[in-house]
Amino acid sequence: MISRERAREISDFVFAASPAAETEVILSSERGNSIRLAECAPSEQNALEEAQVWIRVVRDGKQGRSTGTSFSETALKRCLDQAWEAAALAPPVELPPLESESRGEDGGISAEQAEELAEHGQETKLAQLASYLRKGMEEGLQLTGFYETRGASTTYATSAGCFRHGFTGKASFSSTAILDPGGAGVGSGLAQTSTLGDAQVHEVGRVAISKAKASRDPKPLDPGEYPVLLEPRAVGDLLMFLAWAGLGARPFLDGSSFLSDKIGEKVLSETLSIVDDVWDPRLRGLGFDYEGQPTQRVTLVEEGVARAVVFDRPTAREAGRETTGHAGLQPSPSGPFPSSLILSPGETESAELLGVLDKGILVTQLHYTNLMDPSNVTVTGLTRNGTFLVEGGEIVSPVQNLRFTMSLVEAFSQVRAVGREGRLVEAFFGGATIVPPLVLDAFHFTSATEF
Amino acid sequence: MSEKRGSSQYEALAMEGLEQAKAMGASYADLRVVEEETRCLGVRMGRVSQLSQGATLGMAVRVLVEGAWGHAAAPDLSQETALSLAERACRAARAGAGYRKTPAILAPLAPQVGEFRSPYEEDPFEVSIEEQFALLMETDRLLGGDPKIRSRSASMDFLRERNWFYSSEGSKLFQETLRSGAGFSVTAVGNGEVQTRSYPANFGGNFVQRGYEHVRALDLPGHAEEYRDQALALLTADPCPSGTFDLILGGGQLALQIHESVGHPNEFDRVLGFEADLAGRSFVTPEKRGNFRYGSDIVNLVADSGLEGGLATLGWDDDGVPAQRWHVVEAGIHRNYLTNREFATRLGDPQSFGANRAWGWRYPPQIRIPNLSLMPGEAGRLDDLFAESEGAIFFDTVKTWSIDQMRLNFQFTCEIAWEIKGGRRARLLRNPTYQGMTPQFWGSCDAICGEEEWRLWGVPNCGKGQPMQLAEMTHACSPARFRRTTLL
Repeated sequence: MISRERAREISDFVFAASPAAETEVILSSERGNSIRLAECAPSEQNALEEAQVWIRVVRDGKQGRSTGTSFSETALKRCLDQAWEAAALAPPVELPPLESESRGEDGGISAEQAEELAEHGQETKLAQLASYLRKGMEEGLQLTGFYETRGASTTYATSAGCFRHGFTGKASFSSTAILDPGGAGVGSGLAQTSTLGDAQVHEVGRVAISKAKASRDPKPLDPGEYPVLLEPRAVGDLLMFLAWAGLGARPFLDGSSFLSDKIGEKVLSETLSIVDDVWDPRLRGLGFDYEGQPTQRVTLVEEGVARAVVFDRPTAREAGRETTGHAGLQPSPSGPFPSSLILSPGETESAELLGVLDKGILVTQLHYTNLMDPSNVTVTGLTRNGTFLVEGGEIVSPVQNLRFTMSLVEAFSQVRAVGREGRLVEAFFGGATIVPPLVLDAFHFTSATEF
Repeated sequence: MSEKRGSSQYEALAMEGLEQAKAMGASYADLRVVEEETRCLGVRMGRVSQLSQGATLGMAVRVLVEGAWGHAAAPDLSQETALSLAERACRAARAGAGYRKTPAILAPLAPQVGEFRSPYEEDPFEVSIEEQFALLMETDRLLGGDPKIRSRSASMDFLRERNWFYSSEGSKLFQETLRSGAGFSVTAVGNGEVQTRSYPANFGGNFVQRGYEHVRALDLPGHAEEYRDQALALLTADPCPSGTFDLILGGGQLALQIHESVGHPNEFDRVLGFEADLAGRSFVTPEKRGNFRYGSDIVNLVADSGLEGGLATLGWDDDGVPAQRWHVVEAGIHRNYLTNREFATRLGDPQSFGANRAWGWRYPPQIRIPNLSLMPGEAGRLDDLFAESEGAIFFDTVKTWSIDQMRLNFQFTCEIAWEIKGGRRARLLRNPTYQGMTPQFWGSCDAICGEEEWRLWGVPNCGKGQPMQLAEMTHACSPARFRRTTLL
């Protein structure tokens, strides 16, 4: 990670050396370490430092970009030269002029918090994991998992005068416990602002082991339509697919989003509201995007009604709108994306959710979900790590995992209950969301497994 | 960095780092320096959508201390960093050693010294960006022309990787590979449908370990109008019927079927549960080796790290093990797994098959799917197979994929399908989806086209591990027929 002062030195060096009328510098610097677990022991340990610079220049209405992994003056100059040469040969690009002001707060976490995350070392992590690993060994479980902390700095600067710099971080521990035949359970903890304490690490392990024991020797269940109680990890996965398919401006403007031409219309259950909010104290994302624009809190769906998608400046111009500050590296082929999603909590206490479900299936986690049709967000995937049959509001037995194939727009239009507690979870392909558990009236399970 | 200058400079660096690791108790250590040069150009709706190029350079030290691994990496090539990485890796490994019931023991390997360079005719980094963008712009223009085309894009992507490897056992290796890829995608919206066609494959096109001659041969502009028209036609095409049908898979889709249902379940670290927290485990448990019927008699699946043009073609893997060719499935019977030095020992094999690869310099190597191909059969050309497949449905081009954590229950959706009537493609069908269970599906394979249809299909985006690492590999195959498959 680099300090604000060092980031300014680097970017000023590039601006002074640049022959271009406009130059953009983006710096990313990260430090962290991780432990993978298998067979109740560390199987892989990695300590990583990363540095990346992206330089973009404007030359006679054309733009060139280049990237490198060193902040040395020689390397920066080489990167700049390559961007300059590329700009001479590239076709003209219609992009807005580079930002000249630094508006709004930089957001993120403090430099000290990021440093603490980066320095939460492997020996400390192992000490936190010791009793969990010992318990797994003693009880004949196979414990696997991944425990990672990292801190990062990000800088956005332009020769026109914009300078933004902020810190972000992450501490995550996920563990899957296995107790054959068929027993598997997962626990997970995630924090964006601080390290995980001993109690949080122990809780992840407790949940994983308890789910693994409860799901041993699962019974077959015929595929079909069942009401479900989705725990937060499952909800988080599905929410990310809604976002990929339709909450960014690119699919919205292309007409492939489930929100295209539907702003102001009811698209989901009135119990659901979705916002993108980097400013939430549990998320603490950067307050600026890769165009130097302030990242705004955006209400995407309000009580089931489509309200907005997120924009960067090119898509905003195309739509005659204002940017919401969600730009990626420009030019961006996939457009802006909401990466700090929150599904608003509801009224139902966690302890009451099984009772609301009454008869149906409790789903802990989903596996390998993928998008089949963006227009109604039809997805397929499987259940995993704790799937249980519920009758009379109580878990009666573990069941073998099932494949589902269904439209999420349909599924999220039939919501029976929304849990009162939102939880920070990580989606399978990355990204953090805050989501409550949900009870849905109908989930289409289309085929079965034998485990 | 020139390779010659790099080799002498890095060797001195490596010796320092490896000595430090040994002094701190490492029974084995290696140091890798990896340099990646990239160029990625894209055009969308007549405008530049992507122009990224650059280089990354970094160093990693991996150590084995008392049977436990440690790894540390940084984007810096100083002597001080080499020593510091060795120290950090050793400290972490030692801390973890006490927990391991089964220490990592490496299969024997004689010191390896040598060089490998992948062949190419035309260096894509020497072709001007101007010329490359002109090709993409022309393709993009030909994809347009209808208001129902709401998205069209074309791209090309090049990667040159140089890899210097030094081990405490005396191995010294230099490898340089170059891969190229290009493709386009066009999306039509209308009639309540969103339909996409991609050429020559999804995921940004097809990628091979060759030079710019690959891009020229793809002839993107020459295929643009045909694929645009297919996307438009799919808006009003009949939905693919559900039920039980004979299925013919085109090469691009069959490649992904190989990848998901044969490649991943045969990674031996995964078989032992080392991937369980992320991607899951495998149904191909160790007692199945040598006797399990994976497919029909005509199914031969061969791993080959020396396949010409393959994305995973190398002289040596990241353990320093030489490239090899071996059967995973032979005449329908499971024969071998994918291994590295650590897991070859766990399997009881005398040596590794050499499938250990890392993504650049940042992360430790792990068992990755190598080039893994379905060998050609005797069904001739695709038209010959159509002639013998009345009523079958031909699926082409990957759209969506999903498979369970044991790699049994899979479900794939393709971009396009046709009903086969009178020995040719007849009715066009939209949203085709098939579902099955791995051994039953491969067991239903009763016809594989011949060598004349055998093509290389690159997978540029295979994810595995925590933190997730990407890897690239090729699955060569000819189209094949699968009897009585479930279509949704």
